[in-house]
Amino acid sequence: MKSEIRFLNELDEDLAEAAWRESLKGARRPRSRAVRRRPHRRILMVLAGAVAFLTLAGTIGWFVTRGQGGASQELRTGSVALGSRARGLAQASATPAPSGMEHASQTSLSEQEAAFRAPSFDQTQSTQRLAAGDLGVAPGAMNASWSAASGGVLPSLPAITTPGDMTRIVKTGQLSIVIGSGTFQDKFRQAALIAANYRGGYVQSSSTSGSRSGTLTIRVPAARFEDAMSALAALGTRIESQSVTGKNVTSQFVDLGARLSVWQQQLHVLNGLLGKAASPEATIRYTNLIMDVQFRIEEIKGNLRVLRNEADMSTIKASLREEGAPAPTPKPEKVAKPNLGNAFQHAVAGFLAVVAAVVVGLGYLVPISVLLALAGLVFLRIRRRRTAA
Amino acid sequence: MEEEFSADAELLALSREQPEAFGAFYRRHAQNLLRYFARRTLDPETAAELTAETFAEAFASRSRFRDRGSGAAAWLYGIARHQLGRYLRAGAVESRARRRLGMPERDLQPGDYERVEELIDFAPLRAALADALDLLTEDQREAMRLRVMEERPYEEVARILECTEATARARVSRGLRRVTQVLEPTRRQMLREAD
Repeated sequence: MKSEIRFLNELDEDLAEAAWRESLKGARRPRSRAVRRRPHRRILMVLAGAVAFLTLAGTIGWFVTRGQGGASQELRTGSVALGSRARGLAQASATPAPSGMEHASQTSLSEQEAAFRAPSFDQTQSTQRLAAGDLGVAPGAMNASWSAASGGVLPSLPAITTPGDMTRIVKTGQLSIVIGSGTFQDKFRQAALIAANYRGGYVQSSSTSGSRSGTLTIRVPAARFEDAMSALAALGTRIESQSVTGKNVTSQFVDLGARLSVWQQQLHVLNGLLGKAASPEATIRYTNLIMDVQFRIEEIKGNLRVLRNEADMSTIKASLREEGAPAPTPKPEKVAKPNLGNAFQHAVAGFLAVVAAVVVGLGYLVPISVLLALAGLVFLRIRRRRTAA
Repeated sequence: MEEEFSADAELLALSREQPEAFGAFYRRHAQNLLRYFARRTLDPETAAELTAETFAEAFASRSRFRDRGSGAAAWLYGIARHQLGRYLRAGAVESRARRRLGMPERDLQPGDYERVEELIDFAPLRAALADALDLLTEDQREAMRLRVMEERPYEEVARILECTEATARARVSRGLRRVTQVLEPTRRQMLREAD
């Protein structure tokens, strides 16, 4: 039936053409397949939306957890190790430095940076401090790490006080000193003599770079550590950088001591049994066992000796250079070999970190999405009412 | 009526597998839909465009039609209301569905204007307009004729009527306001009849 309005007739023809084009498409592709593909596409779209939502949540979670930084890690470690006390200390470590001082991060502690850094504690050190606190020793005395630089004046460093008998701290210091022109040989010799000034002190290693700069590593009794640092600092006209690290090894000491005690008791029992052995086979067996136990005892004693030596004798690494001389170039760091044994653990940890980030992000995203959806519904309802009006 | 509902729904259902069946559905409703739009927009060109876009949209989304008892015509007029709403908000007719289907955007043919106006049935409106014009003063009527019908600039209207331009503007403005007041009930009545 043709209309009197030519526009409608033309529209009829246009629609027929569109229908014809669609028929052609349908002929090229089986209809049933097309029908089947439609819900498939919907599922894909829903899946894509869900993936996008979770990715967004993960990103938010990552930013949020990253923003909290080391403090949150300390919280986790601390809470596992020692519960609520850890939180207080972890928060203390996250507290900003006093005005004029920049709060030092954990990673920067090992680097000798030019800027003055306020005292700071890293994650492991915080945990160690907690252990020390439990042993009845002031946390401040147990462990500290900071670095400093100033224009020729040695900043007053917080003293690492020697704690009670139970505690063992391995102190390590680093000093970068600038000395006057033409005085390198003299000052370098004086620095080496500083070690000899203390009973048991010695030069562990020394190296020079040209005739204007060099590096020296000395060992001094732990009790004279601060004195040696001050004496070394006094050699220079200016201190470029300085850092002191205290590593608490008390728990290792206690652990090794306990293991030594157990093995020694075992040795005592085995010796008794050997004396009562009735047959050659029993004698041989007990002898082998005793040898094994003695080997373990010697191993533990060796470890204890090394640890005690490290704790009793502090290490100071001093770099001296004349004014205007180039700073000694650091040796290239060794490339760490990948450990396949830890790879799986790293993978699991990475997976759990991503899941945790997504969960944290969902905590932010879900309420925001609900609010936006509600606002959208209200907006749509208002718009519909206005349109109807 | 029941049969009509069922026939429309069947046509749409059939058109999913045989797209050419949509043509029959179109021919059943094209003129009524054009009238629907013409009475609401009072503009044949816009009404024709809205009709084309509505049918294009209906054709493209016919697989989504589910017969829930209200019939395919109600579904079609739902799309029509949606298109009209968008036109009123944006001030322009969309052409998305036509572009998607590869349909050209056509203009009304010269003879079509009168036929669409016949669909609108301007008779009551003309009578109301005559009444409204009778209510105007001679000055206002003359100012409106020069400005609205002959589309002369206000400067010229003022010169012909031997008054200032501001006075000419005021006469046209008051005249239009008065005509609108008088025509409004008739316009509402026409829309009610169209529904």
